[in-house]
Amino acid sequence: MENSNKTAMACIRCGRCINACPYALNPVNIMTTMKSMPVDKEKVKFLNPAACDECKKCNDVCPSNIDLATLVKRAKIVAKLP
Amino acid sequence: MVDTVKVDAPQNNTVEAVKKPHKQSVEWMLYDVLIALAPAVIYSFLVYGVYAIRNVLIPVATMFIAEMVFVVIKNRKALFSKDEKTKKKFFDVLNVTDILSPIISGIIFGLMTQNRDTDPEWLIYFILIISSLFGIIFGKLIFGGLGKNIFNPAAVSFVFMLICFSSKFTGAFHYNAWGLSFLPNVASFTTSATALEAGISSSTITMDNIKALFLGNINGGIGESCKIPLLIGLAYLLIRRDIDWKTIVSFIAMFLLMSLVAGLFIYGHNGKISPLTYTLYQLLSGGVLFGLTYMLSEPVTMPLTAPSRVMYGMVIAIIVVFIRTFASAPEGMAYAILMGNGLGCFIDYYKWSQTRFTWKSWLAIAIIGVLGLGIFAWCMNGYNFGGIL
Repeated sequence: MENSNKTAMACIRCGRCINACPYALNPVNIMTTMKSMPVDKEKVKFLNPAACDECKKCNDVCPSNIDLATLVKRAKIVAKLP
Repeated sequence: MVDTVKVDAPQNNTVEAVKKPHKQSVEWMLYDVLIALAPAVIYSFLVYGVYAIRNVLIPVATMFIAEMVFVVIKNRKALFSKDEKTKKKFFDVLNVTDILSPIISGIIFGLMTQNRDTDPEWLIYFILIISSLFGIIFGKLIFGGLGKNIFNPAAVSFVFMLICFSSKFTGAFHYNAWGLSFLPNVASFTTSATALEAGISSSTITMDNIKALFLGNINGGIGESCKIPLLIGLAYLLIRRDIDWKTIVSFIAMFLLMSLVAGLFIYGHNGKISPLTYTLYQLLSGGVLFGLTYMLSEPVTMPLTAPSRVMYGMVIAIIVVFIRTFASAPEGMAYAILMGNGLGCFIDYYKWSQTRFTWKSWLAIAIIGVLGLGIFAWCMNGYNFGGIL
């Protein structure tokens, strides 16, 4: 089931998504970078969201029901921008 | 639309609960902290009576009211909207986390206060209210509420109280307020406010006093004195996986190692003080066990990745031992946790923070350990023991 169906709460930085990610990404950091304005493109590229294969394990473990996978997917697009 | 979401959500949760038993919600994590705090609260109510009830309930009420005001201010556009479509009621915007988190912060701060009257006696109400307000506003709310705070609100409240009002706590001590027969008398070595203020000497660091420290028949913080409820709370939080065991283990390992080094130096000066007894005395005195159970392991103010969390625990242990050994303040746990919170962002900077344990992270952990121990041993080597023994 996707977290987008549920009410998302504030991230409490428990770090479970990082431990669950099979590609050792940092979904929390990607999320906070994507939510900041303006988005720091260099930081997004450094965090390497392109490695994500959208397995959504980060969504499964998140206690706050945040839809991290969609944010990482958006970060992929931002990382590809020139 | 809103009704559909409300009907769907429990079904989704049930399916997920069957599929993935370790999925937890934020509400349950906060309920778990409340359950873990319950033994310490019950113990303090039993032993310190109305004084403990006063010291716990006033911060809880103050922080709760402050959080509610914050919820109103945060959702003012929806609450005071003139358009009926966008207007919401107060209970629609209120989350369970908004209720639970200030209660937990208030209980933690209340349990850290001393079992001692202020002079004059009414001042304690003012101190508790002002410190709680300062902690919740400047420790949490100005950052944007739960999940966005850098510093632990309970630690901010406690440090504010220590800095501003510690000279006012000069009244009578309270212990065994209900006159319970099974409680032992207060241990004789604590003529001063806390065990750490009693100082380090061959008469204070004995196995009898360590037993008194473990059982809690000493003066000090109302929730920190007896270690049995704290160990129950720690075990519960670890079993429920609400806190990260890596931070706890790295903190305890570094703390014991550095205390042992200090104990060896003191043993070299005074052969009557055993290094192992000194290490146990340091672990059981003050707020070390309380701080590591309820404040150090709080996920919001910790770094994110596993290697960073190990480093965070080590850095806080180093700061605690330095403050306890060399600073004029006897207790350093709350100060060290705040300094660690501040350093957390630096440890967790995205350019060097590793998400898994690699040789680089192990090297960084080794450097922190060796540097901390080396500088501490160097300082101890040049320390004048005449003043403390």
